[in-house]
Amino acid sequence: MRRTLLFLAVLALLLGGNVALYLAAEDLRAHPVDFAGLSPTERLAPAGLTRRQFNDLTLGFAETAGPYRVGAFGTHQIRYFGRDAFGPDAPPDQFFNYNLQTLGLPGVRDLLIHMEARSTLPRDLIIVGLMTPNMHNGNYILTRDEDIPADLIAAGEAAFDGGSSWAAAKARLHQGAKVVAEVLNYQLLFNLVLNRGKPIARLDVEACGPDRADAALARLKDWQRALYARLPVSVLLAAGILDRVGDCALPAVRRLVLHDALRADGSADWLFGDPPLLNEHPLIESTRKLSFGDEAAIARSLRQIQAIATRNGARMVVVIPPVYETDRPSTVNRIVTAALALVPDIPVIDDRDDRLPVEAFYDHRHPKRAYFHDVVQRIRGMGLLPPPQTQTGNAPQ
Amino acid sequence: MLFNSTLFLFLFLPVTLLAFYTVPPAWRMGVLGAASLVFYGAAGLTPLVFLILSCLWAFAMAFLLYRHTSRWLLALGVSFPLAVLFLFRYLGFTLDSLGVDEAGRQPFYFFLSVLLPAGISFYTFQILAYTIDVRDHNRAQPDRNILHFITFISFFPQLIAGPIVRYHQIADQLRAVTRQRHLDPDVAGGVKLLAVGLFGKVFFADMLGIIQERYDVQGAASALDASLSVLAYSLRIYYDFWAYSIIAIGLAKLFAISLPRNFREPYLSRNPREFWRRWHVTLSYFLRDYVYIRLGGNQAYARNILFVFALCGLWHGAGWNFVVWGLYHAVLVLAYTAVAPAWDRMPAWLQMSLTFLLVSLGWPLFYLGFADYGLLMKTIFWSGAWTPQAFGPLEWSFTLAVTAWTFLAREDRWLHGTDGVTSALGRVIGHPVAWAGMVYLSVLFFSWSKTFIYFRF
Repeated sequence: MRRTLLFLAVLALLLGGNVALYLAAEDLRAHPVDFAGLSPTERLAPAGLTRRQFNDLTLGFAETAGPYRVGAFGTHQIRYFGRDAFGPDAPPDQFFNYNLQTLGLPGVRDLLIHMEARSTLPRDLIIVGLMTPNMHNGNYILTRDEDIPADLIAAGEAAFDGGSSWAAAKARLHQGAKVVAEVLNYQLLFNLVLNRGKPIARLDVEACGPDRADAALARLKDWQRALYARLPVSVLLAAGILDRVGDCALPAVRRLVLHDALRADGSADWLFGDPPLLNEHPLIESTRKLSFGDEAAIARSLRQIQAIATRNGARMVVVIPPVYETDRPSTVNRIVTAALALVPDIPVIDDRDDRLPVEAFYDHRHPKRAYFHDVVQRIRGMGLLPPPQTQTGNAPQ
Repeated sequence: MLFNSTLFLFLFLPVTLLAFYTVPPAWRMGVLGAASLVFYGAAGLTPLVFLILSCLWAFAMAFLLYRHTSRWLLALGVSFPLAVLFLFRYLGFTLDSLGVDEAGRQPFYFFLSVLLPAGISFYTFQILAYTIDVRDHNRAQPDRNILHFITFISFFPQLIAGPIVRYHQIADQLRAVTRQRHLDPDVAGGVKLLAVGLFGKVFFADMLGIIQERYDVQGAASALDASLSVLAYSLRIYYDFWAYSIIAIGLAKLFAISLPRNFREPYLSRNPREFWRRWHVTLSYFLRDYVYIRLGGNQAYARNILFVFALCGLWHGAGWNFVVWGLYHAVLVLAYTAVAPAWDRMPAWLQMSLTFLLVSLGWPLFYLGFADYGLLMKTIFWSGAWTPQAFGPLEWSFTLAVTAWTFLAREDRWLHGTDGVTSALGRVIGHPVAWAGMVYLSVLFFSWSKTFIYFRF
């Protein structure tokens, strides 16, 4: 018994350290960053942030800024959907990308409810990015709990499911689980211990030209390049490695720092990665995340989102991007097809069967920015968007 | 619910332990049974319903089978659990093999679209073993307590990925927990195994998984890359399953239940036949006792070996690649039997190396179709390209370090101390501070840990 008690005591001590760090972490939702204040060449780097903090960048802005004309909501798959898709003259309030890492349809609903209450809901069009079923074998279509705070979940449940005390209790349980997941995570240690006191990196990608950046990289030895490529960026920042690399320290390793950094429109930049490999592997049944009965749940979520859009005078469209794959018939695709058949009046741009060439993708899961340019053209063709305007509108609040 | 999750470790397990040790002894079975059903039901109600139905069927049929030993009644007794297994696990495979089109699949939409119930192969085999043992009057009588029986089948430490436990191995232990006022669980032993298992899962199995999954068969890669991928998976699947089994044994100890070991350092086997006495031991014994011996055993050695291993392959997965994997091992066993005198004269290290090599070359059939497997083997043996492209020094160092650990660190000494000797390593790992460190680090990295591979069987 003595050994067990010693084990429990040491474990409690170690975990207690994590709790202390968590309590000291900056709340980015309470102190939101102003995306609209970013210049076209500035980026918010994700380095040094925990997943919750990174999500809170978007959430904090979503509940305080806007309304934008068009908003895109979904998972990381639509992360590279930017305002540039609406043309070079698109006004600043044209579009914002409210993607969160694994934001499923229920989470989109909850976020929209919250924005509706804050009067920041997009005015003209809500674009719902439904994760391609084959991408993660049906995962992240009906999930929400990873990235949506409990207060949003509770509000969403109250708005559509009667607001029962069970729903409120469930939301609190989810919040508790999220807090635990956040506290008991190695990222917390890396990011908070190593980056304490440092502000969020707000970087200008044009500060150092590419020739100076390449020269700085060339000064590194092979093993340094290999090592730095593998270390978390927060470690590089905290250890001062980036400062020692060269006088253009941050741009010199900007691929490491700026990959997935956020632009003023909430979209991200893709800066490095292996070229996409055609996904030919059959989906493994045992990892499937959609099941019999989920068709109705998907359809119900889409109807609820449609209801939010309609009562606020906005339109709605669902976009299912392609992935870089061969023909892979799957149960999850059949389930999503059945779900869409239940809501035939909701406009859908369904590109699951589009076998786009490799040049259209960053990797096998993420279509390039150009794909979303085409999506916007098709949305305009469907009459869901007003014609392009010249820049006369005011910037968001 | 996963063992490697904060929900299980910090909520489910403490609450279950607290309830188990605070209720009156007569209620402990109810606590275990309820907790086990909650554990399984967390994945979905449909799988839980079918688990309970299979248990109820077997429970009821046992009374009939104990009195009437006809083969037809035995067939009826095993029909429902096997039917459930077939419908959820093998229906899709059967329809694919028969070339049935979409229209033909529609009547089976429910079974095809419901998620594969985790552990269905394991608990089905456990139910079959019970049913047959009762019918044969083989150390088992019909259990007269439905709660006891359901707890035996659904006991959460071993429900989803074994070890496959026989009724006589655990029934008396389960009864004892309801009779003895003061239990004497090996808590320290259980915590140690839990800590070691979690650490092995996160930092061995899942790290190796990251390496192995980076390799794409279709991509341009060299023979060295392909070899590392095979080696990484061979170690990954072992540590993944080994870790689960260690955790299961540790968890059971916390409830004063003893489960059998499922792995006995299988990669130290000197020949393919010995491998199956060390790898997934409880499955081997099941197949030996309920299939091989009943088919006639050594009287038709080659035929029975081929059949048993084909069945073993099919048990692991619904696909022809799994059947071929099983037959591959059958051929290895038969070939060894034929050349055993010469094989056994080789140095021990050579026997182990060859056995490990032959076993490792079969594992990729678990995740590759035939075309990709052929491409992988061609890359390893015929590409002639030896310059590493996909993997660098870091991946090689880690994988070789794990390989060295596998062959040099004697688990019996540092973990089990079964021969009465505990190595220096064992004394370090046996310290509570080490357990806390292992659990803490494992928990920190749960976010990129993966589901146990054998959960899909």
